[in-house]
Amino acid sequence: MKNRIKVLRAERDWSQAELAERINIARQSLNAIENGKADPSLPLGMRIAKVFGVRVEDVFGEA
Amino acid sequence: MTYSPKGRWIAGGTVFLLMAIFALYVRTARPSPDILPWVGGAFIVVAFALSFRAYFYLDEIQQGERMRAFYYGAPIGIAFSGLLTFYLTANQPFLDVLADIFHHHRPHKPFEYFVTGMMFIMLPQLVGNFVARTFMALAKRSA
Repeated sequence: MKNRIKVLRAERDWSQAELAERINIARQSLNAIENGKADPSLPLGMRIAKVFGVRVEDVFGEA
Repeated sequence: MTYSPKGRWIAGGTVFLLMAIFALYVRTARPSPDILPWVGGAFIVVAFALSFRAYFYLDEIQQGERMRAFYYGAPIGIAFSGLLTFYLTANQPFLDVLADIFHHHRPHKPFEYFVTGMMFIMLPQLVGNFVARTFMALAKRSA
């Protein structure tokens, strides 16, 4: 699934490790989600959107 | 249960520590054939419980990967069990051969056959899981 995590992360100047810690998952897992190799569950997707302060559809959708 | 790398290392590390203690116990204390299957059985139960606990310390993406590894790894293990069964039954009852790990006095006790049978089913699947995980890691690296 395409997503804008990398863009949103860059806007906030967060590293993968920093974001992974905020949403409480492994950095490798975040990397897999970011590159579209793994799809997060709805609760995790909502958690990611929440730390960025945006809606879920602003994170996951056409990049 | 939430993601906790520390919790996973503690649970996983305890399993390896128990394995080392069990191996040392069998090697040095040389327990009698009457109690070895019980100690072995107890060790398997505790190790399985701790491994299960360690699994729930993973995040959902890691849990999905482990499940996928078991999905592909279990058939590899079962196929290996089948080949081993065929090989061992070619000339003698295979459970007797496997149960010889406890001692060489046949016939073995029913519980020894039970533990051996369980190991025969579980261990190849566990090894198959690690084989699948290795292939998945290699595939990910080359992608």
